[in-house]
Amino acid sequence: MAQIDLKQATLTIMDGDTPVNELEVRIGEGNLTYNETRNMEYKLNRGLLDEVREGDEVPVAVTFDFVWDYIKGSTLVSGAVPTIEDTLKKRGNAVDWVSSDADACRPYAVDLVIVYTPDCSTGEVETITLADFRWEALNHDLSAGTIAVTGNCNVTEATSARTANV
Amino acid sequence: MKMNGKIIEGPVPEVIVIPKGENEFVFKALPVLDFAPFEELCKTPVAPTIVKKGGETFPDFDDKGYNEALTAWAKKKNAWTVITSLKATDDLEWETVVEGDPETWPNYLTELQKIFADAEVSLILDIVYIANGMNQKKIDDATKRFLAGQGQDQNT
Repeated sequence: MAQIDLKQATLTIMDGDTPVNELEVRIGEGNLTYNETRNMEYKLNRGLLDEVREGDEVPVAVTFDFVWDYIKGSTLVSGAVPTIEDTLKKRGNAVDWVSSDADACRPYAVDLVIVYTPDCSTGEVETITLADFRWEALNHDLSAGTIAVTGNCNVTEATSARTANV
Repeated sequence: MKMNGKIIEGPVPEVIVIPKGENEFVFKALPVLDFAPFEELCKTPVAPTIVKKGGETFPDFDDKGYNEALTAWAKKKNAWTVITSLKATDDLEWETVVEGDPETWPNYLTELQKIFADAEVSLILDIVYIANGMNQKKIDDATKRFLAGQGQDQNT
């Protein structure tokens, strides 16, 4: 996959409400990674490779750790801008956020949408969606002023779309 | 309210009659004086707030989503104004416009266009705009007439 300069990308954390609550984050320094894993089971027949079956599904693993340049609240929802941690934990100014997961009995989740807009007009805008993300570890670095977030998405792969850069 | 000692009469409806076949359709429009019911159903979009590194905050009026929401809101406000203003028309009933459902408000235009020609629809909408003070030409003409009258008074 092409390298994405995160300084030209925004991360938007979105909930499942209508109208949607969202927090747009312009990343300054740092990184975001996501890993898709597929378990394949190879069955042998008398010691030789034979059948192949797909094993158990694995959720997409996400980590991000960055310093933001700015954060921006929702368009249609007035009120104070929540922090990133607020949106992940459904607290503070994000206490009214609704889980992105359609099943209300499951733990609270959000969608992560990365929009990469290259500064050259010829490059296409790439939108990567990591649906139903739930954080599992938040590692705070007080001296750097950062939080390293790790968690999983309840999907087997991210969705990606490219559109013209207008 | 009084002006020059005279009581100003309440809103007077603008009227237009559209002859169609053997019928004459009389449309009446009154000014909309209270937009609170509209605001209850369609809140004015708020520009998203940006928080910079140092904690400085400011509204982002250039936000694409905000501008799209503002355009959609303005269209609904215009449609609501037309529908509400035309309530002065006797026995006017819309088939697909539901008062409490903003998504149906723009349907008024489709309904009018099914029956009336474009020019006739424009005439009907004109009385709405005149009633609601949105016809700048009419206001400009009235102002010119007033100022011309004042000039004549000073010359005599």
